[in-house]
Amino acid sequence: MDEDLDLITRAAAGERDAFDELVIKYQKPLYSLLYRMVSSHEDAADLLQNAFVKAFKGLGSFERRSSFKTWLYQIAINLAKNVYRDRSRTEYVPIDNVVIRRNPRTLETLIVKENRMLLRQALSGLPEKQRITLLLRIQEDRKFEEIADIMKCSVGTAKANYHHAVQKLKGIMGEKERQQQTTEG
Amino acid sequence: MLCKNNNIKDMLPAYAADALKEADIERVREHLIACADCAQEAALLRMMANEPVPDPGEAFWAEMPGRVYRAVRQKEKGRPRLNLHELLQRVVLPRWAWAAAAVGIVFAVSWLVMHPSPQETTVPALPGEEYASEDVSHNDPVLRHTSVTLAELTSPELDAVDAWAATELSSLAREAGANAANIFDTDLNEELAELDAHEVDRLSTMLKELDEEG
Repeated sequence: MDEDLDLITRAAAGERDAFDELVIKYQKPLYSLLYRMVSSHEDAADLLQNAFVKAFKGLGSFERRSSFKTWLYQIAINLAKNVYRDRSRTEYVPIDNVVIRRNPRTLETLIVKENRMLLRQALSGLPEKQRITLLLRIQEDRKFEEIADIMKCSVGTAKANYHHAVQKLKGIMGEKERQQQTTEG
Repeated sequence: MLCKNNNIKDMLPAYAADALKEADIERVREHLIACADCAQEAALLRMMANEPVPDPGEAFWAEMPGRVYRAVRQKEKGRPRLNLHELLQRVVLPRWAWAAAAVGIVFAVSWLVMHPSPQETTVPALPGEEYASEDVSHNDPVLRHTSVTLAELTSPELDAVDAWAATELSSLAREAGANAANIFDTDLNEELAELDAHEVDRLSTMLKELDEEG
């Protein structure tokens, strides 16, 4: 049973309080996921609003086979996919030019930042389903059953996507670590 | 070497996000000491979990429900639905089409009266003072130059004019009918979907005006 059923029914009837309550309930975790997907506050904020608007506009056709949360996340992820595809042309500025100039504190800070940037690049290189599955798994420790609902796939496929994503990232980050050790040695 | 301990691996995302129970944390820690594969995975997941997400601030969160609500309302206002009456008027009674067809027919009849068929143009011109008194074109400056009048035509000639006019009128009528039929073939929903809010408003106003005009 969808725990939001009462709120959905009231919101669909035009009740403002129920409407607001649903937004307040999901806006922070959803924003967090969207930001991780598109790496931009402006895009994440727009996507957040658009996802809620689309969800509320479609409440009449929401068949309630899945939970409102799953449905909302499906809408948000589909919207974010389009933005991400448009932004996949984003050029990454060479790491030496950015990190050192902006935050020349310590070597450790630089390595952390470099690793984060490398991680973002590695993430962006993953197939879309693997990337989104990994983000969903990391955020809020989602179970594979819920991820499978959101991604509209089987639990086995969700697990496989997560496994492949982790293995690829481990390979990339491991290679980077080895390079750093070689340089230091 | 890849670790096959799925119990531990399932706990790693929660471990990385500091969302694991104390007892489970100890289990994972003990495993990580001995397992390089899971240790690497845990480090990777922790880096992802710690990836900073900016906090847009309380004002942003407080404003979001209102922004969403206004956007939903605005979308509803921006795309008013035509009611059934207006829709029927648009589809079943395409008055503009019938008005255009009527004007066309009137024009065609006038033209026929003023311009006889090529067969009749061979009739010799008659002096202007001999126009029949009942000729309605007598005072028309354009028609003064017409070479013949209907009153001067013989019976076979009138029959020929009549037959020609009937042919012309039937083709015009067919054309008008086809135009009207095309309206039914048009995917109205598709057409309406292409209209923006201003165009829909204008269409609605025009339909109301037509309705009021009768």
